[in-house]
Amino acid sequence: MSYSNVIVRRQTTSSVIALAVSVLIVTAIPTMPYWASNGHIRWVIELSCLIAIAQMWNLLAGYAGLVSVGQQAFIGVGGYVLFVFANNMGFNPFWTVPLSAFAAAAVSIPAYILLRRLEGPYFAIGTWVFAEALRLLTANISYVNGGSGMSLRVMAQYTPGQRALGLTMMSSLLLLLTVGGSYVLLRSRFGLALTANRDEPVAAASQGVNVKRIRLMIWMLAAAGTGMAGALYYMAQLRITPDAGFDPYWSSICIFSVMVGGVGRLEGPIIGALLYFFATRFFGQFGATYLVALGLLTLVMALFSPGGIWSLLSRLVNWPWFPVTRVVVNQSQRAGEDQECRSGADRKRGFGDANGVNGTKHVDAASIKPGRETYQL
Amino acid sequence: MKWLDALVQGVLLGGLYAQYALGMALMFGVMRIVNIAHGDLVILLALLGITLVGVLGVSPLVAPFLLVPMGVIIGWALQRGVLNRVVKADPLPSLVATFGLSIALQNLMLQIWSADTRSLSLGALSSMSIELGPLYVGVLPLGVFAFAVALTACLHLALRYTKFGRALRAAAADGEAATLSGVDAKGVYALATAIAVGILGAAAFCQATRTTVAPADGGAQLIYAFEAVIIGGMGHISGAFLGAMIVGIAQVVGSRADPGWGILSGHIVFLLVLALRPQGLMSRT
Amino acid sequence: MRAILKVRNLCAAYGDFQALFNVEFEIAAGEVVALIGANGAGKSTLLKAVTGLISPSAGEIAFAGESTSRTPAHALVRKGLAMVPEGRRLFRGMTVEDNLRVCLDRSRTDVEQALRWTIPRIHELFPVLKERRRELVERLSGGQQQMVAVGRALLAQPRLLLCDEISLGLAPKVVKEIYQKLPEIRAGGTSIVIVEQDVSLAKSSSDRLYCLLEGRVTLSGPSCEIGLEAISRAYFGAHS
Ligand SMILES: Nc1ncnc2c1ncn2[C@@H]1O[C@H](COP(=O)(O)OP(=O)(O)OP(=O)(O)O)[C@@H](O)[C@H]1O
Ligand SMILES: [Mg+2]
Repeated sequence: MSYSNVIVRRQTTSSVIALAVSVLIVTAIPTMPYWASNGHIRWVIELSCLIAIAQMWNLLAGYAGLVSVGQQAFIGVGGYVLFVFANNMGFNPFWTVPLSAFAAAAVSIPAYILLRRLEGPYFAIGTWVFAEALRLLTANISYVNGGSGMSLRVMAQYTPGQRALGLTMMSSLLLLLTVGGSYVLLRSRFGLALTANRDEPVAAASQGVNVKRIRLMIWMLAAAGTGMAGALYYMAQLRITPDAGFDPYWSSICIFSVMVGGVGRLEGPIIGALLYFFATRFFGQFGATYLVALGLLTLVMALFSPGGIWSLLSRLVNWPWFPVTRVVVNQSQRAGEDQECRSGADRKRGFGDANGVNGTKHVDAASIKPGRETYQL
Repeated sequence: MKWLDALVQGVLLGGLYAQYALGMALMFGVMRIVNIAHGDLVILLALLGITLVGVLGVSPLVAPFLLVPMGVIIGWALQRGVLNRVVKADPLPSLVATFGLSIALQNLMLQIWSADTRSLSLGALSSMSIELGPLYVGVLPLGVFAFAVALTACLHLALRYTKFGRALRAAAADGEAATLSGVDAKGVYALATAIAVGILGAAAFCQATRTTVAPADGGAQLIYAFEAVIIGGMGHISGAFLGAMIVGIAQVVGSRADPGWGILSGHIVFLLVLALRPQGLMSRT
Repeated sequence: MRAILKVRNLCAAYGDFQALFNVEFEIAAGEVVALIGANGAGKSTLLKAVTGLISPSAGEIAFAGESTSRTPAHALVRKGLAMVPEGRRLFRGMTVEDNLRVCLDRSRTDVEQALRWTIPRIHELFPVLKERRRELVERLSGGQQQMVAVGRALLAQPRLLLCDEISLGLAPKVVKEIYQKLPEIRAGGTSIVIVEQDVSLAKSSSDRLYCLLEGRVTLSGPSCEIGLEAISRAYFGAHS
């Protein structure tokens, strides 16, 4: 098949619907204070934070090959930066939320420089140590009230309505930046390079993809998104302590959501976070038993379904929400089946037999004329 | 004198950490796997030991003879049932699998034993101490330390001079070539994990008699072991021992300076080593 | 003569890429067989399939009359099927002696005492390995490392020895030195397969010869009867 009769298309019916629904949700959240109950608003805020941190972990593990069990470092930093700037320094707390994202990204740089030399699994534990060090350090600083934590007293100057409006707007922004941002990022040239690097590191390196730079960028972006989520979460909580903000349980949430939802696909963490959120609502009362089940589920998924729920679903129906790969439509058979093109191998790492559904054919991205888009960074 | 005492106490504490670190170094050296549930297994074995001693009404000194075989069996089953499926270049599956295991174990223990801290009392032996020059040193910590030294030496020699040790090193260097030399790589892996967790059986006894255990303590033990391994040089047996000493000393000296800084000093020394000598102290390169 | 190895209709693939197509390959006891072919022809893949490192997608492999499909790779070694892998693949960080001893198996009783390969016999075969036995293997020269690789495989007491490009990257003199040992190895009743890029060397040191092209056997027969012309056609394909 020659290039002239190939059309590269990325949207499918399902993705157009998903996009419309997403836009609707993101615009509807800030209107919630006018029609929803306080309880539901709190749900939505927490859920936004969960989706955001899961999506960020997915960027790390699913695309940059960086497994972190220390994401709580950035949650804590995000939260504390908010409290310090708003409480101790008198900044507007709402504007400080995006600022926390930058602070977390800044903190992530030295962490990366220190830890980057550690091999795969050691890198992961290294991130945990880093987070623990930050926790203990915070607990020893009297400026932030040490181990007993801080309260966000400045929020008292806003009416409950104003607070709810600010929080929901921030939730919307968080979702837009983390989920929407990941979507845009992965569809960009950078994203192509990222996926290429994940699937064929050697080939990508030979095409001029700078692996080290990619990793650092993703690491910082993930820290920023996680930090912002941390700020928002603790703004809603009005209280933060080192033990809560830097709790390793945050990483557990990330890992559970992404691995059970589906790693290496944008849809996975969303499904996983929703599942975690509602499972906790319904079964959280069982406490430790529930967590045992959660742990075992994670273990079983890692062993038997590394692609998570999303890849199981995709085996049944091929309805991607956020396709970041291209769909090649052969003009001569346009009425017939679409051909999904993915750069090499989602399939290789067992991440998604996702779109390897009957009737779709894998075409090597390199064999399709990239048009204006190239892998070069 | 205060600081000399801190140094000695640190070394003795390092003896405990060395026992966690040896198994981790062994597993990483052979399979490039880190078992996140490593610390939780120590706690599990310790709690099992405490309960067994109570139920059977035997002397606490019997505990290690129960715990080591239990550890060996648990390790072997863990490798055969879980880890052998995830030994591969990609670190994600093994990390996630053991992470899930860690969460499950921790909460299971919480349910069975509740959040209380427990310990195993050796009666008079627990508080006995001997005079070493100007210092008083507990007999028990000294015993733990001596055991760690012996264990390190045995492991080192076994790796170097036995058939199993050679097979292990061969499988670590090149799994495929080891297979071509008639080494059953998966079997060797299972034995390595069995040894690693078997050592944790001894470590669990030491931990339960020296200090206390509670279901949530596993994460901390994992981190100390990890720090020791990295400080010493990845996958190095004697390096792990040295690293454990350094972590122990840093923690004790730190806590003498300011009680809030004990564990933090360990982390800081670890991060310093990463910054200044990332390949670890014992590494040849 | 009795066949030590019989490969019937073998197909093998890496993911979507099929590397071997219906390969027929047979080795008689005591025979030296050369396997030649351009880069990427599938020579190493064939050897890996035979040793069980990769599992074939179709076909039959029988070693000493028994199908190998149910025997794991490490157990095949213990039955006398040894390989010198491509690129030597020695155990770094271990001494020469330890590298050899990994393979040493004292439990084997099916090999006659006199014919058994022992470390002293390896030292006789390659004296330099005796001199340097306590050194780390990565300190040795390429040729010496290749000797360790051959010695290591011999200590498995092979009835069939597969050598994947043992001449790769070595000086002609060293290559000659190693190839000179083949008759001695064979004298113990060991069959040998040599994968070799140097066609004339392959031809002169083997009884029979197979040529692979893009995963298919394009030529096979007694080495002395096949002309260079025919080899060249089988090696590069008909149209060249
Ligand atoms: N691990 C692998 N994954 C994917 N393809 C592979 C792999 N190993 C080999 N191949 C492919 O299989 C084909 C045969 O490879 P093989 O290594 O058997 O060739 P060879 O004849 O030994 O070549 P050479 O003379 O270069 O060693 C080649 O096209 C190669 O690209
Ligand atoms: Mg080859």
